[in-house]
Amino acid sequence: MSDKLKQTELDKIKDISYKLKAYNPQELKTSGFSTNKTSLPNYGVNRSKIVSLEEAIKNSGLKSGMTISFHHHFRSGDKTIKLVMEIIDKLKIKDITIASSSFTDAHNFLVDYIKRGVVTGLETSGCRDELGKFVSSGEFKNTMIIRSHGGRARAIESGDLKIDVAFIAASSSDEMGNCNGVIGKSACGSLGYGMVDAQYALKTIIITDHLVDYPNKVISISQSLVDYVVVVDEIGDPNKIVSKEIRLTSAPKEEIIADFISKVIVNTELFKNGFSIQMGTGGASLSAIKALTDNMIAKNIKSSFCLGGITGHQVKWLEDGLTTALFDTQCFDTLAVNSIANNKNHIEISASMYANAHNKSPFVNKLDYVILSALEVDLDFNVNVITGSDGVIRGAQGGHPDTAQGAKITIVALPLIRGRMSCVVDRVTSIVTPGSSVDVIVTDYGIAVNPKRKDIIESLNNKNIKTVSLKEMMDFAYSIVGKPKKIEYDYSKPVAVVEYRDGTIIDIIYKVKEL
Amino acid sequence: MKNWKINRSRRHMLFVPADKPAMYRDVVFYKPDTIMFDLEDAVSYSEKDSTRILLREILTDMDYNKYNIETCVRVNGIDTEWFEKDIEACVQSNVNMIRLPKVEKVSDIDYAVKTLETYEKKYNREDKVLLFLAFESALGILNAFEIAKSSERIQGIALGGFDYLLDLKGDKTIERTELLYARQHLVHVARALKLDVFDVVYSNVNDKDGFVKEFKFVKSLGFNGKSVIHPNQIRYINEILKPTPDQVEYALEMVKAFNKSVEDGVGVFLFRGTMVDKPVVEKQIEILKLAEDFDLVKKGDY
Repeated sequence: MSDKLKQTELDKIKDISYKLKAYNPQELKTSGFSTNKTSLPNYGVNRSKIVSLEEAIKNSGLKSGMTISFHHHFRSGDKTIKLVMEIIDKLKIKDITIASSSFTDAHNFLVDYIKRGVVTGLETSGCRDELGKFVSSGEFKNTMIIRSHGGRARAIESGDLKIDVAFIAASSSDEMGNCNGVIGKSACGSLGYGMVDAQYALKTIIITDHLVDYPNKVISISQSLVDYVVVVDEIGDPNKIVSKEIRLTSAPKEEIIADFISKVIVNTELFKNGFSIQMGTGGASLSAIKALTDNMIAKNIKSSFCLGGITGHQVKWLEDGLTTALFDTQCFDTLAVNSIANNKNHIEISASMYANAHNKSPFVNKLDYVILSALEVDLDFNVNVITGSDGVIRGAQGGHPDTAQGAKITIVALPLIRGRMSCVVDRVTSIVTPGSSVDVIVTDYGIAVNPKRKDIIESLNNKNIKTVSLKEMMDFAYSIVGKPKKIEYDYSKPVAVVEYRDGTIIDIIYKVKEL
Repeated sequence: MKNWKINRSRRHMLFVPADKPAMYRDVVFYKPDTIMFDLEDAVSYSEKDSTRILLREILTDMDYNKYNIETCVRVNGIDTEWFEKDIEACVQSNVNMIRLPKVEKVSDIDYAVKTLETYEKKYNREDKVLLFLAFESALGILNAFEIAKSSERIQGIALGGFDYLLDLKGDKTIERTELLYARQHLVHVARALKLDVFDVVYSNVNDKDGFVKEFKFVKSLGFNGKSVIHPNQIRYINEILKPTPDQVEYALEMVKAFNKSVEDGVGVFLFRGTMVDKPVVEKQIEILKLAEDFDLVKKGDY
């Protein structure tokens, strides 16, 4: 061709950092770059991506030793991991690392796959129930990596966590993979965690139980990131999104804690028009919403946005004009799911936008207040949300360390005594969130303010709000339930490492000697 | 704690079923003035003995007085087979007070005191177990004055609404007008004998507005407290009783002015343009005592 640009001419241009390549109609690869999507059959020119789950797995090139990922937006109602693992097992693929945004009690079945060598690696933000117990027992041969939601997004984007195949359960998808979590019988709301996986995995497989005509009306993850679409009977049970950790309760101890939380918020300077907040999912922090709402109405204060996992309580704020926007990585109940589908100010965001410390500006950094739960705290304000007082893994980091560091005022709420154990202790069993990023600890005994936050202490003093020290709290609890026996660990066997949001290791969890 | 005495006015008495071990631990956080462990209606017949043993063991081991909480036990009625064993268990452990249900005659108190004396002697108990009486029948209400003055151990009296209404053959109304006579009668008895007087429980634990309305009403009649069955009701009572900063400031100023007038040898004196005499000042002292209970002032402040 006479008009073809000569490659030799292009080679003479030296001030561009990458190699310039001349157009050649015989080569459909149109760029000098090779992206991980260009290995698609027919260079990605597909008219349909629908295949069976088995075909999708085979076509993805998944082999023993690779890493697969899932999101946990269905929480206890998740059915997708089981579907995928059954095919992987059938195909005799072994030595798989599962990087799920979290594990719930729906994933206890993985214990069997681990025992048979199908699964040998676990990377997650949380682990509970039988799987947690199994890991803590030391029977899991490798070491689990526990990351926060922001930390997981950072690890994926930085390449620390390389996902070979991402499996994304979507409540609706068209044949090209334009999908979302808001349409269909199994709507789970935001797909905030899956968004990051879809973008960075070498292969992305959408699994849906609701195929819609092309093009899908709502595109949370676009076809440009998707390799295959699989249609199955059921991806999950949305009724189990609301797990036992999330509830609004009138339990009297939580009412007392809620009262203290709202006292802190309404009596600090940031409580003014345009404040922003993330509320945890513990009963007490949800109960605090009522008192906050009354105060906002009385003082004619509106918030600018609510962040994080969203519940019906924040949806009500949005509908009543008490907040301008909800930024949502994870819907925590069906009210939130309905809202994200119908309210344009209820905005779906990815886990990276939410909390990745290494992007230019995660949303957590714009928070004024965050209310978080905890399993235990210590006298240095360090927080543990991973291991129980028996040392067994039974919790999740979620966005705990991300929001704690980003928010201007971080409030951690927990009962002083749980079961027969004090939740304020000398030293937490595992550190997840460092005390340097925690400002206030609230229990049913009272309010303790980190001595570094003289401004908060002064604000509360000015309003005659009594504060106590963590030592007082601990001594009070010990006077009732006694000092707990030290947990005995087998320090020769680390079972999990806890990564801080920036990728550094903040703690190691060891095998518990007696389970 | 030996010889411990409650150092504030009794505002709430929290009913706790004595057969729930976890409740023994949790109640401390709700800061009731008095915890009333129930051996009577809350416990089934088959569990009476085991519950009594549980109560005796925990109340021997755990010292609620350390947390400034008074302990009371509602024992089974004196006409039951469990009464004497209940009394023995209470005397053995750190129980400050016994709530006697369905008292109707002075002889009921005589029998209860005699039983207490027997076991206090047997176990060498130094301090006397106090008494709180529940009137739950027409006969009891009518005899209340004679009964309530029959022993120095008696600290207060209470109306038991459920059984009383059954005895009256009345109907429960929203306004509880059927209780009006008994309420007013017991307030008179209590004030005449300088005793505490407690109102009936409010059974709908989710109805804050109803509870608040009822407590405000009985407070206006003269009741100083209410028996409560849910920890949240303690907070509602406190919210109503807690003096406002303005009230505290006014009371402090008046009492200071009064003290100065006493020093100056003046009887009636002028305060903020109004003539004030001793009964008016005493009312303000009552407010300050209440303010003390809420840590708003200290004794030396006035």
